[in-house]
Amino acid sequence: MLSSQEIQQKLDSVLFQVQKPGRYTGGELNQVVKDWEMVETKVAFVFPDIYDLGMSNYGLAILYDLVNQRDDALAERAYSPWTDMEAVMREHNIPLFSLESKQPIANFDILAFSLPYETLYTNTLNILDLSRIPIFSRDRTEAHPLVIAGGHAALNPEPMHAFIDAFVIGEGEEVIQEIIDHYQKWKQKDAPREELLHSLAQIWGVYVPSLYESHYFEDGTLSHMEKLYDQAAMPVIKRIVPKLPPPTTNLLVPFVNTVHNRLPIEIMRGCTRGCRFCQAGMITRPVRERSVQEILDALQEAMDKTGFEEVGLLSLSSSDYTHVLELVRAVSEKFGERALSISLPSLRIESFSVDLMDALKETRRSGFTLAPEAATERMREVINKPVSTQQLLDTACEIYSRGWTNIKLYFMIGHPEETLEDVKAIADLCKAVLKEGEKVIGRKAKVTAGVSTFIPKPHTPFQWSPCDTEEQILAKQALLKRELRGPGLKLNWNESKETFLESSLSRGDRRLAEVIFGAWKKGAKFDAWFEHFNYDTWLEAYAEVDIDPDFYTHRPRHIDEVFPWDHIDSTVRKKFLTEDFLMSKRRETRIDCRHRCFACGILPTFTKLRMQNPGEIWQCPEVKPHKERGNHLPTKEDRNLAKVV
Amino acid sequence: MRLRLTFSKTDIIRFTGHLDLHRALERSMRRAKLPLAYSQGYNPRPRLTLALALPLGYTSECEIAEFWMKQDQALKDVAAALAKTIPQGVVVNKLEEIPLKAPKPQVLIQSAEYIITLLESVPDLTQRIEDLLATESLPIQRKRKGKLRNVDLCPLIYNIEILSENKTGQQRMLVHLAAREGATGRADEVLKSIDLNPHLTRIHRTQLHIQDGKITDIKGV
Repeated sequence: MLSSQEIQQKLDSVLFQVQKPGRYTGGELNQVVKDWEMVETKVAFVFPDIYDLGMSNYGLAILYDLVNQRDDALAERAYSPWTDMEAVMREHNIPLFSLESKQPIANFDILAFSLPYETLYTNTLNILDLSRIPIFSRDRTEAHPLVIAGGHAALNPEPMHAFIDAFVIGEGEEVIQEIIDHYQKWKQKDAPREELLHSLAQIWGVYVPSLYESHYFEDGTLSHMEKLYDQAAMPVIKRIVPKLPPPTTNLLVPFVNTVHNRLPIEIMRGCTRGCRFCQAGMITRPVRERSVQEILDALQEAMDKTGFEEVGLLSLSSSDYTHVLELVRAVSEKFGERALSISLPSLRIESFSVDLMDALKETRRSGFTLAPEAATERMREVINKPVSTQQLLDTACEIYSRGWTNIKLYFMIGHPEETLEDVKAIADLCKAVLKEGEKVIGRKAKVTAGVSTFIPKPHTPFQWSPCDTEEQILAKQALLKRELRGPGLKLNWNESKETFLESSLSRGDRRLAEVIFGAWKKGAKFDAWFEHFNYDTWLEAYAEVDIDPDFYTHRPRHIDEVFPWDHIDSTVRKKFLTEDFLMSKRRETRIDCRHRCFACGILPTFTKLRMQNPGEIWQCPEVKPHKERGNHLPTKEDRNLAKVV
Repeated sequence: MRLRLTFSKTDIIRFTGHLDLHRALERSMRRAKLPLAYSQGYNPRPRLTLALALPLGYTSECEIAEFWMKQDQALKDVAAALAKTIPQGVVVNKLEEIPLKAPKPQVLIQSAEYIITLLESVPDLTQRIEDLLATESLPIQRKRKGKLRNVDLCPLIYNIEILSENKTGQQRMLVHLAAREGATGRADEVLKSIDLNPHLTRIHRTQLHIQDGKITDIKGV
């Protein structure tokens, strides 16, 4: 393997041959370069897509900072080289290297992948290959790095079980430190690799797939998971940080432009809305908020360190953050002088959101985004996003009259129970919104409809639902293309074949590891890029191992089917999800669980943590110590609580 | 007040393109907490202009940036603040105040000089250059906004001269090219026209010329 100096020398000549060479140079402001020889444990964080996307990954930015704060560890970064750079690297025999010290990735102790979505799986294999690390976990020895992965896709780790030594289920801030501690203890002992895996399996939130075996029924569904190691957890409970630590302010500032080239600050984690299609809303509970003061302090510090001109106040649902108006006003007031613009994603459909955007004085008034997700009230009840059409139209009217000209409306097709009438209603609703705009500002009014295709995800109430077939998707899209025409209207949609891969992998089991490996061998990579995604390659890979992708995508699941991810406990219980799924069939909705707890499973799992973190930090009901309970006549609210605790 | 920053672009920042460099400088000025003047409108940007785009991969010792501040500050204070925040690879050569009404550098600049170092030896380099300079017309195609445009490279080449070899014995040449708005010669196009691979060279901008002089000579135009 080349040394870091040799890699640097080769880069000095090959970088002139590739597009955007700044992706591969490192040296960004606030990067951390430690003395390689002096640090005990080296961690490489890898986002398996190009730099432009990976640099905007907030999770990795947090972990990079946390690990670099330790004296006995260092963190460096790597991303997927774009195809031109990969060709050059293979031609010149350059292994994948870290941006900071240009060390080969194989020289690190721990290689940590972020896996936010399934279409990064082949890139992950490709990174291992470019790093000259054995693709399969079973082929790695004490001489190879420990390969770990986390992120939302890890909530169903099974399709990648053969390639990843250990998955982090849930939030990484604390667990990454424990993994490093366990690694260091193991390394000092000079023990076999198996011992490291056993040790990691003891950590809350760590799943070591090689310590389990899957058993199937004849019809191909899962019978059960068997533990091969006594002390492995069953189920593996998701990791959370009980109180969000202060936001990271040591943020890298890229030279090359990236997708979200701005300062990210997470204001709240989790969501109480309970939209049934939304995996993030289910797996990031409980809702925890940061205080306004903490956010302002972090913002000040991060601005001084980075000079960013825009801040993204991040959460799954900005308008649900308890003090959002206070926060937005304070930020505008405090940083207006420095011309800081604020982005506030995911606003609710109500006039309050327009007030909020109004408070952002510097915002460019071109587009205002709302996500009704479905166009009929019936469908919105099915998916548990109950907004009335009138409320949407009123909000639209408000938006146009306050100076915005374009409203972007996000919808999904392919929801369970959806009919062609529901799809046609998308077009009708867009036209109705446009009409509101024309009343206020005439022909200047515009509506852009973004229509994606719903993919059922694990750990959600729709995990039982079949995904639409390609024919269904095409028919629905054709209907929309026909209906959504005319001045002021624009339609964006996803190619139907793009949906296929994500939907077949997201609810997959261990047998798909072979499919992923086969597809990669045949050249599949950058599957998240439509120009690179090759449908036929994947079909061949499925056929070669005699697996029918329809089994994963289009098959309706029996209500008591054991799922390949059931031993991964998102702490929102299957019983709750089942109930919610059945409610969706009856068009029954649940209100925001800030107002009433529906006993999803968070509190019983984390009773102690909630008791240790009382008050507003969590949006779940308070849990009182046992002796304080029952001292007064229970109110209705207490009774609800009692069911939970 | 209006300030002019003359700087070198070296090291890894050579791989940062024109727009990205603009953003990096803006951010370094924000970190330095200079009282920047902003453009008006919904999306205010600091008033900052870069004189002449430097193609990706080139280094330079004569880049010009001009920016405006709402309040006057002593030059040495501005320089000290910037020194702490300037991006890696950018070296400040000079910071000076210029009159608010001075013409834009883009308008003043007439031509630019480059030193090109060849990584691989080319025995007939002199011949190739002589042939090129003797040519009357050299049509090339440029792509702009997706459209191909025909350009004659000849009038954009002012001079090419062979320099002495550098310490490691690599051949070098000095190329003087037009750099007016709408009429700019690119060093890599010159190289291609004499059948040299730009990837096998290193290109370094040494000088910007205005009418009757170098831009670094002028003060208070």
